[in-house]
Amino acid sequence: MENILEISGLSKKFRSNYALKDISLSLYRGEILGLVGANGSGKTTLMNILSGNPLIRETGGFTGTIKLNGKIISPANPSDSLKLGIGMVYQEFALIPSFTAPENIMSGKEIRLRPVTSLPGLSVPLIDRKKNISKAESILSSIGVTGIDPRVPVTEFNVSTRQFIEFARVINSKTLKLLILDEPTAVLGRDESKRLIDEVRRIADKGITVIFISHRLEEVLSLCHRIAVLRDGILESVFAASDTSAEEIARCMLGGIHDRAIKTHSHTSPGNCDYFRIKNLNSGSGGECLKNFSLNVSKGEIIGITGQSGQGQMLLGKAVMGLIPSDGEININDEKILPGDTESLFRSGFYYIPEERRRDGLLPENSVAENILFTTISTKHAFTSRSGLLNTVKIHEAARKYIYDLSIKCTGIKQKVCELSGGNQQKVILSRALSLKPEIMMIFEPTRGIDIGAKEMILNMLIEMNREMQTTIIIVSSELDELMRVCDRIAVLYEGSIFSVLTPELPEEIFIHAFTGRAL
Amino acid sequence: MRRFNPAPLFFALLSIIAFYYSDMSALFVANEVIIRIIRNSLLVFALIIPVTAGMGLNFSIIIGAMAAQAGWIFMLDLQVPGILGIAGAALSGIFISVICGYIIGSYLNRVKGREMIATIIIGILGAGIYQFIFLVGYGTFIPAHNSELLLSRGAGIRDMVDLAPYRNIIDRLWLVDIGGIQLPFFMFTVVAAAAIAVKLILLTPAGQRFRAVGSDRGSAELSGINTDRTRIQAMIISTVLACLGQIIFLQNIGMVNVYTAHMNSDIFSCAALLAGGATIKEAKIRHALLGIVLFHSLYIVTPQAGQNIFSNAVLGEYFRSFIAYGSIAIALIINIRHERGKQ
Amino acid sequence: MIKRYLPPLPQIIIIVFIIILLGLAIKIDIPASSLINDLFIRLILNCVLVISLIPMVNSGAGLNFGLPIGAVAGLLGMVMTAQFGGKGLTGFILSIAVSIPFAVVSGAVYGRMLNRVKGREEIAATFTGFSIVSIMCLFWVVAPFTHPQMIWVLGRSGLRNTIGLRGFWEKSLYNLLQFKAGDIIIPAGSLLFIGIILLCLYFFSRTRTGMMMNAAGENESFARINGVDIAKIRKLSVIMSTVLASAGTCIYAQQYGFIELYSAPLMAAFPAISALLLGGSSGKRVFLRHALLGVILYQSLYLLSLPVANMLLVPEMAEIIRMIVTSFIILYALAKKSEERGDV
Repeated sequence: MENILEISGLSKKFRSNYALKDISLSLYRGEILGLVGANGSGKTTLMNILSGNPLIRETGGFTGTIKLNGKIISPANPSDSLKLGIGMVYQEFALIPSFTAPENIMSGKEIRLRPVTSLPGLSVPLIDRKKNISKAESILSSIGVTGIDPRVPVTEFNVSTRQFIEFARVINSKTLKLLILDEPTAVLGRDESKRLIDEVRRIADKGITVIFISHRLEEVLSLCHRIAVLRDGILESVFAASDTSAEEIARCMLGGIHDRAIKTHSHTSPGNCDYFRIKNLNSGSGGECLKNFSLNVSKGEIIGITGQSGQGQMLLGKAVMGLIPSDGEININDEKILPGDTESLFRSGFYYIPEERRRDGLLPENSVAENILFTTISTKHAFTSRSGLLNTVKIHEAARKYIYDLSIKCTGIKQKVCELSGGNQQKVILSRALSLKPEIMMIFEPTRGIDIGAKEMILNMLIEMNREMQTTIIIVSSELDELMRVCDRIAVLYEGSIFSVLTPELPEEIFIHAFTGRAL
Repeated sequence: MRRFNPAPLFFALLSIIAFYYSDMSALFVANEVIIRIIRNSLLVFALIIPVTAGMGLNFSIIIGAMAAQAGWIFMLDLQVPGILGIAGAALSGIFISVICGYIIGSYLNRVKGREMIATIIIGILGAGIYQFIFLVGYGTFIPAHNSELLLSRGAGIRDMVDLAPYRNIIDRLWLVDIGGIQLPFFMFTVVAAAAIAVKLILLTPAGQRFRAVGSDRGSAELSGINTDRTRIQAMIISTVLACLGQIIFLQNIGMVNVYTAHMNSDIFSCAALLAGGATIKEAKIRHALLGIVLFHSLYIVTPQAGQNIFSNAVLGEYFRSFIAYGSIAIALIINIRHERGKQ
Repeated sequence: MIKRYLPPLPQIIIIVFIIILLGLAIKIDIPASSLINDLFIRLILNCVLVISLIPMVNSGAGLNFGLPIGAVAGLLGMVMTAQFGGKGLTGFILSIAVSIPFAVVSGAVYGRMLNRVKGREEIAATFTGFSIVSIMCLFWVVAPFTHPQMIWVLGRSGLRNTIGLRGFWEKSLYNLLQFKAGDIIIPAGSLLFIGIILLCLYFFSRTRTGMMMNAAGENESFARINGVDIAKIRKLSVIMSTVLASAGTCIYAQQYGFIELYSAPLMAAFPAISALLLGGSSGKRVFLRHALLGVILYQSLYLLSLPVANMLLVPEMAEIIRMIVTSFIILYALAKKSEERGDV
């Protein structure tokens, strides 16, 4: 068996972060490789490199070599990749909304009228509409899709039909050597998924190599020859499908649960069991979404929300705050609040600390003092003198106190926060939360990108906030061991809604199964 | 579900009311409208492909118009008469338009999402460079062969140059008179040919690329289309068409107002296109033709109507400027809101 | 490190241009005092118009291509004051006061419209401005003004294209607290007035609302998450910019000596925007010093090119230079902003 694709020593850096580190992998002709791993694991980056996403070149290119059929390749844009024979079925679909199904499927490969039937004297390459429609229909029927109206724009079809049209678009290529499928079954029901998978198998039998990305481990096991697991940019393992199990793969993906620490935090009986409720929150579409997400939080508890990447966590806070369109209901102390009604959320004492610290959590060019006290000034009208001007003296005083209490390392209250380290930036954000004294706080990935020492301090701060100010805290994080130490309960998110709510004493197996959507 | 566009109806209503009050003869108006169809068609057609390619209203067709004027001036300067002169003007204009279209398209690829405001400013920049060449350059660092074109001070082209050597050559070719209405069939053929050309372009794979980029640039890029190159192609075609349109426009008028002939050609063309029922995202030939008829009939009758109703002709003139700007403003606001609604 | 202190490309080009022109001006013996006097006058003419752009830029509402809307409010204030015979400094102050309510109302509507067209504010604002200017043309013709100095006398009805302010409040601010230092006229009153406006803006940025407004422009998602009603604060910034634009128009007319109606305000936005961009703010936030530097550079270029063009080249050259410079700066800034936003 010859190797179609040879990747060796592939690395990709974004600024100073390694998204991919020294990946080496070979695929033979007709092989179906399953690729699993969290969203931060480098999967997307690897696909972007192979499919020629210009972002890669714009951010400094990659190191290492990729060989297709023995020749070194480096596609600079999707057009290059296509010419090389690499076809990618995108999770978000690359369908042109106003085009019909045939127009999308035949895009770039339209059948033209033969010169004799176009205008005499001019060899204008007019498109032969009829032939294109019939060709498209034959491709669709070969993958089991019939009855598609060829005159209607694709936006009129439901999402699973569009998935198949997207699939047809990519396989409509005589030069296809490598087919990459990004979560192709995410929007499909069970029967449709099976149909698609059978089709992929048939394509591989014809000699086309396939990379199949999915978080549904059963599918990956049944379809693929081998399964590659990526974690934190490194290729952890490559399993032969026949030799492994979903357990083993899940364990490899999640890295196991090291340092099973004893829960160091406990508190007395929780208060009102339905203090904070999210009911049927729906948001997002296609790739990552929230589907009828519901959760009940007790007053004064610390509850964690976790799961594989891409199951909807990133959308939760934005959906509640109305930063992305969503519908559903939020209840705080029996007061009904709609997502996006930030005024009511603030009034009820809710505060959201987003995942992207620099982008959404700070004013980078402003001082430490301004960043710490911003929200207290804006929502509680604090530090404002009678004339309307801000009382700079008092603001500085308060800021200095927080810097001292939390040991924020900075040259002073006037330093710009963009100059601080990640850990100190997070402390600034938490100081802001402290100054607000929120009733309930939703914080995302509190320890991401922070060194070990600071991580402990942040976690302790959260525990203290809960103990001293009775703040109810919701921590959304991928660091399961941290959650085990700090939380009273841990909810596992799968495919957009809560799969189960567990407690830290439960055995590891239950967590691993919950992460991959299987109940024990 | 195609949304019903009330614009043509609105313009038709206004035109009818204004026509009634203007007391102008229907014959006169009809003849004037025919002339304006001949004069303005290609300029409005030039807007169609950029709209289809998702670049919005291309206000920089004014650059194509200036290229045409440059072409005429070159021919007058070299004193090339007759049909040869017309061809020469067109060819030199097209040459300049291709280059300008390429430059403009490349620039617009750097300001994606803000093409419309960019094309307005590009128009101002172009006008400045144009004035520099013709008001300052000719006679100073550009050798002038025909001193009659120059201002009395010896440098710079005059405000108005006559196109006498080219008048009535193609203009009134194959003229047919039906009950007082004059129909120049050669020019109709030219307009029809241009319309067919635009339609044909859109039926080719290139046309599909324009449509794809206009529908969803991101997806088009992912599916392998070189969106940057496609957009540049759209601008080149647009500028060339505008140039040809202005060549026809000027030879029909019979003279060139060197520094003002191109003014507002972009605004009026866009307004006409919108009046015909086009939107920022979709424009077809039929919108263009209907729009020219509606917009220009309104344009012809409002001054007289203003005179008759308010004893003030100037009101009619201001009114039609307002209609032009206002229709573009409303089209922009409605379209952008609609776009946001879909997101 | 060096990148932070290097001024943007347009600024460098313009400064080089100015130096060349200065050299030429000195060569053809143009007296320095007349240049300085001219500069003061041009500063007074244009300063507040450029400053009017600041609130909107800082709140994230973008460059105010709809500046003509504020200009029209100013014109309304002025013609009404003139109709009732306003004179001297009182007349000038009244013209601003009367235009404020118009500016507030139109700013509120304009602001609401801008909130609905996020992403393409510039083009929508441009044509809204054009439309309002052109509909006001109709108003100037039919409005029942009767003051003999304002209306056409024979045959035509309506207000004149330009209304001379001699006998009203021409240069009333310019003449206030004016003193001479040699050949140089220093219009202290005008500078003080403008200084007060600058001071007000400065104190505003030190209030809670000002802080929230700057945050909205600095980082929209942060602001939204931390209690700022983006739509409301942006609308407020639009009202502020419109009011300042109307005041700026009144100051301009007072200095120039004429109220320019009809299609005069159409292109008012572009030179002001260009001047602001020339002042070169490196980040998202624009400070008062950027605006001032920008006006000085932009106007210096213009005032130096006029006499030099007259003497050496074609007189129209000055206007051509201005057209090219103005549009080039805006195009450069548009491309730069798109690059920073990652739109390309």
